[in-house]
Amino acid sequence: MAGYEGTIAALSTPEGIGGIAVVRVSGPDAMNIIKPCVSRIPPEPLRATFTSFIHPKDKHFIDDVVVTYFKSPRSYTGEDLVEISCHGGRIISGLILEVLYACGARPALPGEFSRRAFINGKMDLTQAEAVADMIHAETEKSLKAARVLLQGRLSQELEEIRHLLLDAASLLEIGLDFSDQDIETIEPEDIRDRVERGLIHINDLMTSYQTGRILHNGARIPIVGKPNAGKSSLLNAILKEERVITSDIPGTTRDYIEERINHSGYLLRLYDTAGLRDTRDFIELAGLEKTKKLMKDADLMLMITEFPDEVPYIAGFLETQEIPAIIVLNKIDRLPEEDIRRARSYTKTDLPVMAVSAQKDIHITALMDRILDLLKDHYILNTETVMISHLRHQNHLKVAQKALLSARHALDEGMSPEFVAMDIREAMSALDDITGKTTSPDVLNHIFNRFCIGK
Amino acid sequence: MFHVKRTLEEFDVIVVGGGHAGVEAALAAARLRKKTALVTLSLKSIARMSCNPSIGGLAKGHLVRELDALGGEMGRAIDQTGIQFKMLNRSKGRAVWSPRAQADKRRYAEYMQQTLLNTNNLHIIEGEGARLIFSMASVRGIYLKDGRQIFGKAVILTNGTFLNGLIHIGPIQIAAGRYGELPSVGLSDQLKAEGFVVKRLKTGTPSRVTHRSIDFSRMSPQYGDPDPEPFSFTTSAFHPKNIPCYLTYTHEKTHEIMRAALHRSPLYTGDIHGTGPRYCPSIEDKIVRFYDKPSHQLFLEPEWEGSEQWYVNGFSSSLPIDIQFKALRTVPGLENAEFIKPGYAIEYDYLPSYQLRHSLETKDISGLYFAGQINGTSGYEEAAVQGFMAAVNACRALDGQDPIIFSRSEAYIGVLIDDLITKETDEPYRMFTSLAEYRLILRADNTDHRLYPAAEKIGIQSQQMIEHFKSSVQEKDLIKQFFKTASCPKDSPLRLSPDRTERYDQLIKKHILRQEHLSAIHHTLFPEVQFHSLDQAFIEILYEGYIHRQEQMVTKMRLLEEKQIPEHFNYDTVKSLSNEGREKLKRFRPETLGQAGRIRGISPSDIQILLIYLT
Ligand SMILES: Nc1nc2c(ncn2[C@@H]2O[C@H](COP(=O)(O)OP(=O)(O)OP(=O)(O)O)[C@@H](O)[C@H]2O)c(=O)[nH]1
Ligand SMILES: [Mg+2]
Repeated sequence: MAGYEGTIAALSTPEGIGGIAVVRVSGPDAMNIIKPCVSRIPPEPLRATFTSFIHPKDKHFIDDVVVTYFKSPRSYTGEDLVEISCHGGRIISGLILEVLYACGARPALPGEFSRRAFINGKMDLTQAEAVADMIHAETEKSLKAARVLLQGRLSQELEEIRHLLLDAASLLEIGLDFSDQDIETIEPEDIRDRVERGLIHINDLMTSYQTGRILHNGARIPIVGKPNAGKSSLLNAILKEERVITSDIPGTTRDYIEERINHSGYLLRLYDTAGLRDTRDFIELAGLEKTKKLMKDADLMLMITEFPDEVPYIAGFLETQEIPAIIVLNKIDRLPEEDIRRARSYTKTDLPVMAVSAQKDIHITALMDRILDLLKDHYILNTETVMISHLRHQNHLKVAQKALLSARHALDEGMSPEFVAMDIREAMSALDDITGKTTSPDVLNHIFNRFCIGK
Repeated sequence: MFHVKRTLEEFDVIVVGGGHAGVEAALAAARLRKKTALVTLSLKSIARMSCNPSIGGLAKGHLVRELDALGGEMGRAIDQTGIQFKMLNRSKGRAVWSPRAQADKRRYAEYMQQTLLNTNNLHIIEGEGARLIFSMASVRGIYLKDGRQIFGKAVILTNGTFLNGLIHIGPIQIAAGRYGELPSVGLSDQLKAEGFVVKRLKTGTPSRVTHRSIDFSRMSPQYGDPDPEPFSFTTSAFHPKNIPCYLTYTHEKTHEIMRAALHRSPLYTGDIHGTGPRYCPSIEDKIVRFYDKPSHQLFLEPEWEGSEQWYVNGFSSSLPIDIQFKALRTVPGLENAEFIKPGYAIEYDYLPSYQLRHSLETKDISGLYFAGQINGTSGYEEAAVQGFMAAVNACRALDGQDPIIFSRSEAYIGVLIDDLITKETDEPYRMFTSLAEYRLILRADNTDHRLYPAAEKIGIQSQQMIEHFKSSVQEKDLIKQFFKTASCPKDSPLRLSPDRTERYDQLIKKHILRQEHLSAIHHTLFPEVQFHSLDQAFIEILYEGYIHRQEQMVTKMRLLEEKQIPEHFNYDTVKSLSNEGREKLKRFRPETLGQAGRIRGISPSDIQILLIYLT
């Protein structure tokens, strides 16, 4: 526990210029540290008190501040906590912190406020993760998703599943431990029904992982095509700035380049990739290791070509893929109308062909709208429903799912209830791992290391 | 060796109470060559079965088998004196099979009394323990009610339901430890004054009827197994009696009579303050809780062979006598029942076991141990294993040795004691298989294989038996090895796989080679090994996948289980503990983080913070 004790202080608003900055002090000595530094001590908890912040030694005036005292356990961290709202800007808050450190507080480690909140039972693990998500949220949508987590809705959902399983487990145990009593026999169907419902719930949550991940981490969209097709140009056109080098020398882009944009509140991660020489075979194109990996992890693919005749080949390849994709016919500024029409005639609802010109910025907005539509068609991008956005959650759900499948199998095989019961218990313990009921310290550290100072 | 000493004498171990905990405690201590005193109200009341005439049953059978492997007496006693033996849950998997026997109460008690009298180092003292003698924070002995002082280095209290026992029959209340026996008062007040927390529990027992008044033709006889299995590994040539019990049912009329008189039950008038068990409810509880159930089963059980007194299992009640009799007489076969004793509820003092260490020694007074119902358990078997463990650990402490503590993955005994200490029991605690998270490993059939190292360490089980256990484990390993490498030939006389040769383990896993083939395999392939070893090999292969998963879970939990919390750890220094968690930790003073995690009210984050703190 060394290194995690004492009273901590940190700036909890973003650094830099702003109207107001908030400094937080949390820990058993929070009030004692503040007292000599203010001219008026907050008379009671939760009362915002206007006062001067002074240097306790030379009584030097530092700033006019508003001090609010949150008494343990009714505070964010669950400890005694004091919030000092001072004037914005790095200098004043810096001075205040310096005084606080001199008076016995120590700088907070990354995520330490939330860590304390978790440790004091103010939030469970999924909520703590949500705080981290909110800090790291890049778009409004991912912020919303994080909020749903923070409200503990995932925990509620898990609790529901847990309840179902607990029910099933109890029914099984009754059959084992009270078999000498004339309690009604338990129908295997009662157990199966609960296991099935648990599985459906878990499957739903597991599918929501994709949604959660897209909202939180962004949709991964590689731009794939032959050299000189205009991949880099397309990326620049989308970004509306010359971010990557383009040239008429094929093979300009050697490695892939990632760029993030916020499009209507959704985070899109576009990848400009290295093109593949001398082939019309896109299956071979996928053989390029890095590109292959990008394509495998993609949420949507942009397949770009400057030759209308290639469209059918690309379409053929894409039909074997599960990932949604758009075929982009580029350089239409120098293509005859006739060719464009021919290429577009391959368009199917789920495999659109978009004709654009990256260089001349033709139909780029339409392409972007199409990308969003396609994403929404394929993934339920609803921020109001419960979803999981962490690989950790997904992994625990997988364990729970496996255990329940095993339970179902045991039921099918007509195995004795104690085996089914064991599977169900295993599933429950996996669900508990998500909310942190039995989490190991490594998991905790991993989660808390993601926080930034002041939250 | 019947001693009544009036002079001052110093014992190593004093056991107070001659019930099932006391008997095992006294025997264990004496067999460990400690000068042992057993203080009991009377020699004749030793090992009396005050409630049901049976030993074992679901999960309880596991306890008896474990105790037997370790060298306890209960298994041998029931094998010698039982009148019907049955394996429960036979239609389920092997892990939940539990042996149960119908006992001959008289012969069982006699057997135990004789065993005690024939044991060296054991002195039986008739009298009532009134006050403990303390010196500093250690126990020094006990004062008897008649003024005698008995000194000893360790005292094991096994007072059963006697501490401030109060019997309820309708509006009538009688101070008693058992029907017709005086309670023991004063001891629990003294403990309270010493700072122990004392609480009340309740349990009940049904009425007894005369044999001649029962019309058995209206009930269905229930026999034991035709090929019974003994409890004890030491029992050979086992040919017990198979005397039936009889099954009958209550019906609407019975329920009506009782329902109309519910207001006269002390359970509902508020006269009873102790909490009763939910798993063994009184008949009035049953008709209230399962109000839409038109009938409940009743077993008529003889209390001993040729007994005139029959036990009405399922009809435990504290309703007024007239109601009990009137209601019971509506039951088929009991229309003319004559009553020997009414059913009654009994309230008694117990000491919540968080005040104990896992050795069963009290945390605050060294040398003082509690075992049995005084710890809030119910049942002879639960009591017996505690008595045994308390005595073993008392003796080890006297010799400066570490206590023997079973983990939850080693034995039901470990589960039982750990539950007592880390969970606040607010009803009498009874063993269930569902309480054991590693149930598939903790079977009643492998207690020898699981526990022989502990048995050897304890030193009560005979060396000959230990060698027998060890050789069985070796045999099992060899057979498993054989099954995993050898194939069953196509033309095997067993005709298991007539189409092709297949490995034995595959045949077992595919349920082609089944339990019923084992004796043929025994004769043809391994005539020289114990059948038990073959059976164990078979079970371990059959459930291999599951057993493997449980073993992995055990490993996963080991980190927390092995993380010791220093004895006088100051929880106040850990500022970030939740208030409830801190309060509970201070009260329970768990010995390991694993134990701490099982205490209700201690949040996972409390455990995490402690883990970080202690690492
Ligand atoms: N006329 C016209 N030329 C374009 C268009 N888009 C790209 N180009 C040109 O095509 C050439 C190749 O463009 P890049 O964007 O570098 O192509 P790339 O696919 O990234 O090529 P590599 O990185 O070499 O694989 C450049 O000279 C661009 O100016 C377009 O819409 N119309
Ligand atoms: Mg390029």
